[in-house]
Amino acid sequence: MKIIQVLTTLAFGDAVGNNCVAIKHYLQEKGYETEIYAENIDNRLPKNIAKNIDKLGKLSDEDILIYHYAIGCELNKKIKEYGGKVVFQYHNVTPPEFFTEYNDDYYNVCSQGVAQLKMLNKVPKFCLADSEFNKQDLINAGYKCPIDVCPILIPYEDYEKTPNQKVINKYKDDGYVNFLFVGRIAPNKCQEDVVKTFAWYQKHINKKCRLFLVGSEGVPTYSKRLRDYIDVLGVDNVILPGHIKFDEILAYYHIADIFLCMSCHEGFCVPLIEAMYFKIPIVARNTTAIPYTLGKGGILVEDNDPVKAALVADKILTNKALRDQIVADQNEHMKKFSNQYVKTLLDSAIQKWI
Amino acid sequence: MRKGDNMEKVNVKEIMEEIEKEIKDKGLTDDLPKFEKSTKAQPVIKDCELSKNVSGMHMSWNVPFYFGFEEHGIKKFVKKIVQKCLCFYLKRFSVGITEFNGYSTRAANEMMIQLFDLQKRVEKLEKENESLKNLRNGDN
Repeated sequence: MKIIQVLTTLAFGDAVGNNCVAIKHYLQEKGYETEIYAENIDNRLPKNIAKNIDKLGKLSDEDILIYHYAIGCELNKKIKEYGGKVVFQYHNVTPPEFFTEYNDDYYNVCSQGVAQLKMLNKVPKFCLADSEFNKQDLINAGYKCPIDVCPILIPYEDYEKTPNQKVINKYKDDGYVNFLFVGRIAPNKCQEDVVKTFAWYQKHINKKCRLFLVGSEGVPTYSKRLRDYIDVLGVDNVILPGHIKFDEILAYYHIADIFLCMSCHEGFCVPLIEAMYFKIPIVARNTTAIPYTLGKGGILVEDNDPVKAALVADKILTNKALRDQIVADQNEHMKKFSNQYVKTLLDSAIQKWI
Repeated sequence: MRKGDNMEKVNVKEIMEEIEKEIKDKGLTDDLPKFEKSTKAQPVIKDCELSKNVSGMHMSWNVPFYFGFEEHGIKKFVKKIVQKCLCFYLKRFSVGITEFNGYSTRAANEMMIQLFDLQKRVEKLEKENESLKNLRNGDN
C-alpha cells in the first residue's frame, strides 16, 4: 500500500505546497511508500521532491490518493481515473464573484473550481478539510463521505531563519506604530478595509504609524484601485513592498506591533498562525475560516467598520496588560496548530482510510 | 475588561461594549471616502493590453519540461522515449528559460506598478496644465 499526493501546481513557499511537502516527509517518517505528483513543479523546490503527473500509473485498490483541491482545472475531472482510494484535501476555492470586476482568468478558474467541487462530490471516499469552515463548504457541496478536519502543517523551522536586517534597521523602534497585514494583494483579502481602518487610526488617534501590506500583486486591476484609494484617502505611510524575499517577510513580522486582517474570504489563513508565532496581537474580521484559525486568540470584529477596528487596535496598542493577555491566549491557541498535534490528527485520519 | 497586570482572560464582549459606548459618547463616525464610491476598477493602463499580458505571464511563467500524452499504448511509449532523449539534452536549457521567465514576470510586474505611478503623475500634470491654461485665458 502506498500513499500518494496529487495536485495541479506544487508551488514554492505557498501554503498548499508547503503542506504537501510536509505531509510527504511525515509519511516517509512513518515508513509509508509515498510520492508527490503534480502538473507543474516550481523549479525552486528541491530536485526530486515531486514527479510529473505523467509518471503516475494506475493505482491499486489499497493505495491512497490524496488530492489537493484548491482551484478549477482539468485534473479535477481526471483524478478518479488514477484509481486507489481517493481522498480530497480541501483547501477551499475563492468565490469567483470577488474577481468579477478585476480579472476574467481568475473568475473562470474559481467558477470552474466551485462547479467541479459539486460535480465531484461522489468521487472521494474520505475528505480532509483544513478548517471547520472548509468542512462546512464540503457538506454544502453535497459531500456525504467522512470528513476529518486537519489543519495545515506549518513550516515553523523556517520562521527561525534570520530576518532581513535592512528592513529591521529601517523601521524598528523609531516611535512609529507598525500595522501589518500579510497576504496576496487580492479582492477577497479586502486590503481596502485594512487601509481604511489604518487611515481612520492615523487621522483620529495617532499620526505616527505605518501600514505594511506585504504580499505579491497578482491582480493588477485591484492593485491599481487600491493604490488609487490610498491617494483618495490621503493616508501616509502605507507601504506595499510587492514581491519580496522570505527574509524580508520575516523582518516585517519582527517589526510589527499589530496584525490587522479584514479579509472577507479565507480557507485557513496561514498569516494568522505566523502572526501568533511572532507574538503579534491580532485584530481580524469574523468571516469564513478566520474564527476557527484565530479561536480565542486575538480579537474578532464583526464587520468592516473602520472606527471599531481602529479603536480595538488602539486599545491593544495602549494597554500593555491587554496586549500581553492577547498574546498569551494566542500562544495557548497555537498548540492546536503544533506539528505534533496536527500529525496525530493526520495519523488518525490515515488509520480510517486504510 | 479588567485592567492591570492581573488580567486573566480577554473579555472581547466587554471590550466591544466599551468601544460602542466610546463611539456613542464621542460621536465618532466613519468620515472617510468609501472604496466603492471613490474608486472604480479600470483597465490598468488605458487602451493597452499590457495588464492582460502581465496577468497571462503570472499564470504561465513556469513551463514544465514534462507534459502528459493523450495517446495510449505504443504511441505513448514512443513519445515518452523521445521526451526522455530530449530531456537529456534540453532540460538544462528549460530550467534556465523558466528562471528567465520568473525574472521577466517580476520585472514586468514592477514595470507596470511604476507605470501606474507615472500615469498618475501625467494625469495630475495634465490637470494642472489645463487649469494654468484656463487661468491664462481668463487673465487675457
